[in-house]
Amino acid sequence: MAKMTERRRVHCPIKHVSVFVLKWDDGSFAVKCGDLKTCGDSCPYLKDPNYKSPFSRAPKYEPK
Amino acid sequence: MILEEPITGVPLVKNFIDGEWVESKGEIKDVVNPAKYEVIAKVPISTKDEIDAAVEAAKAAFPDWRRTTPVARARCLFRLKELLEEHFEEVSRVQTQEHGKTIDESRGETRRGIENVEVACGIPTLMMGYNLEDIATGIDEYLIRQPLGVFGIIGPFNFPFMIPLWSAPYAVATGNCVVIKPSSEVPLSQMKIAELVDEAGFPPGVWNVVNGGRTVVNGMLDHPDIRGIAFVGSTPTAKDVIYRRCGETGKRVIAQGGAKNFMVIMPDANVRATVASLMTSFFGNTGQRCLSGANLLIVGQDDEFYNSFMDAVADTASRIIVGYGLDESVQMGPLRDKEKKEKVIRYIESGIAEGAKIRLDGRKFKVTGGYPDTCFLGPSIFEDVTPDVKIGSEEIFGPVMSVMRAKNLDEAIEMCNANPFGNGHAIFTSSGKSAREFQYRITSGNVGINIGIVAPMAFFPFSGMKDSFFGILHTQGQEAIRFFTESKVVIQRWL
Repeated sequence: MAKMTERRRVHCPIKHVSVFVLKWDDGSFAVKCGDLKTCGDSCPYLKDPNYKSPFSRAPKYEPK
Repeated sequence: MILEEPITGVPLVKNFIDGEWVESKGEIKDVVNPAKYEVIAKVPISTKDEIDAAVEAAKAAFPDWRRTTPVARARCLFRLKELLEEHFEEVSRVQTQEHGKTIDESRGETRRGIENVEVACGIPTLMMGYNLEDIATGIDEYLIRQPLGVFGIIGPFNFPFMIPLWSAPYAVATGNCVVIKPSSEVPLSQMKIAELVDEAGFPPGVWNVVNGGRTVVNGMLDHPDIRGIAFVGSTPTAKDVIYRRCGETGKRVIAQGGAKNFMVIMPDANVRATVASLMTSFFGNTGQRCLSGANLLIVGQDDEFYNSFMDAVADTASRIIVGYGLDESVQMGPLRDKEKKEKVIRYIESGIAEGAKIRLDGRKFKVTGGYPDTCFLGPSIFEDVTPDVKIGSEEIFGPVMSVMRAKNLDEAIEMCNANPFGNGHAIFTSSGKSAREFQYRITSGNVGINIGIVAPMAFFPFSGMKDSFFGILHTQGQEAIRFFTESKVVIQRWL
């Protein structure tokens, strides 16, 4: 039986809710989210469990 | 890439009265997408007869609705919540199209609105009273909460989806009926919600929407069958119109007004996190938010800290991407309309005329995507601002940061408290002692500690003090339940 290797909570930028991404050592993964039913295939985490929105609300400040 | 627009073909907005979509006989106005500066819909300025008809429908629906069990009322709200989730992206894009905010801001607004529906779903417990046996020998006393009848809800332009939901779900959950008047500048979000309310199975007359302006507001204020008003808008209207008239006509009132929020920066603040927080506080929603930062107050006499902090703030703000909110890479949208932009420009000019130093001039900016610049402005930053000049004391409602300095925390708190508004002041510090002192002494209804936008969650009241709020109970959570119910005390003895 595959062993769970990661259980990560992320902030979904589409629905503004917490989403849980679970990964196993056989490469499989699952997305746990109350909105999964309504989002369906449009869920970016279903396509890529490492999804990170390329956009940000404001420019990043990087101290010199 | 621009996301697909849900509103097409310039629809005529109708009123939603007694479960029917009714065309108004009033004058018709344009609804303009401020980013593209094009007409996207037509909205009526409804007549007195139409607001009267909506109140009549609500009054007629009330007896049956109040007898509907709280559990059954909650089921309608659960269904509404589900429908809002299903239409989440659509209603978010509608907000961006009609208001101009970025899609990320709209999605956040949708989430905050839905959370109020979720909280109101708990009405069977939220509405419970309390009791005590044997207040005297053989006598028991208990309190029950009962709905009052019809409430008017008047929304502003800056959060067209969320703000009416600070009140409406609680009003109907407690057994009242509502008449909502959205801002005529941004009526489409409330139309969309009304469509979903209809689908959710609310009976006709429980949830009504009447579009318009002063005639509708006055019709609500004067109507003897409206038992209370929940209003969010400017301070002059909140104080001199809504609060006063509700007093004269014996209505309950929540009147939320404007703000001039201070963000107090202590020398021990975490610079990186603070700068990030300030960007969304001052420039999020293009500064059109009653919880926006307005005055940045830097504490201490360390010029080195001041200069390096301001370099970081100005550099970061200068890189904000301005454009149409349906482009996901955009970080700041336009002002809601041309007149609002012109008002902000007048404030910028007055800041220069009154001697403040303009560090970042929002009049010089680039719109991503080549949209007309009619309603757009970039972020502005003024330094050397004093609390007595216009840009330091009045609500600008645009992306303008006025920077001031205070010798120490005492002086900073005094400067904050001297301002007539008291909506959402915040402190940025790593000292618990400074934070506690600030929280204790500041006259502000919402207080941030290392938080730039002090927006209470649905289960807390949206508070406000001084010229930012007129009334006693607030929108959201338990206070909304109290506002929308009458407390009835029963004392009983069985002989």
